[in-house]
Amino acid sequence: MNEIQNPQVGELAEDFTLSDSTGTPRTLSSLLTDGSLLLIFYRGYW
Amino acid sequence: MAEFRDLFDVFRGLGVGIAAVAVDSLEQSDRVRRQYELPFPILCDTQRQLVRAWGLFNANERDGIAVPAVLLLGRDRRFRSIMVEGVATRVRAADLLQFLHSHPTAGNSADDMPPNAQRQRVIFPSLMDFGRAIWNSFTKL
Repeated sequence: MNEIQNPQVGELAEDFTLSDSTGTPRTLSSLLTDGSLLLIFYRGYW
Repeated sequence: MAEFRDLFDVFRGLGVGIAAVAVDSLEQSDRVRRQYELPFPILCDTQRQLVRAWGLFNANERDGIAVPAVLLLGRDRRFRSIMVEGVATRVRAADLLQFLHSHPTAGNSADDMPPNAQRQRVIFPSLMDFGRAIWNSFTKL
C-alpha cells in the first residue's frame, strides 16, 4: 500500500516540529510533556 | 474527529493528549478546527514530510493526502499502538477508551516494550483486536 512502512510498536519516534493551524510551532516532545499522545491523521479538508 | 472531541476530557483524565494531523494549509486546518470546535491542535504537515516518513502518505488523491490513522505514543516517545484505517475499518474513539481503561499502563509505561519487541505491520480489522494483540505482546514479555 505504502512504499515506506509504518512505524513499528516499540520504536522510538524521531522528534519533529510542525506548525499548528494557528501558526504555533509544535514539537512532538512538547506534546508529550503531560503524558502520552494520540495522533489522529485524517484525510483533510475538501 | 467529533468523537475524539467529545471524549477529549476523558482521554485527558487517562493522561492521554490528542493532536490531529493533516496535510492541509494552516487556513484550511483552522477552518476545520473552528467548524468542529476542536479542543486540540491540528498539526499542518503541508510539506508531507511526516506522512511520508511514517508511511501514511496517499499519493493517489489530490496532491497527496494523509492515510487515516490513529497512533498512540508513550511519554517516552515510543509507539504504543498504530492503527491504520483500511477500506472497511475505522478507529473508534470509544473502543480506544475501553482499551486504555482496561490497560491503563498501555500509553505511559516506559519499560514494557523493549525496542526489539516482535514487530509486525498489520491492519487490524478492529481496534479491540488490536488492543488484544498489544496486550498479548505485553504479557508475553
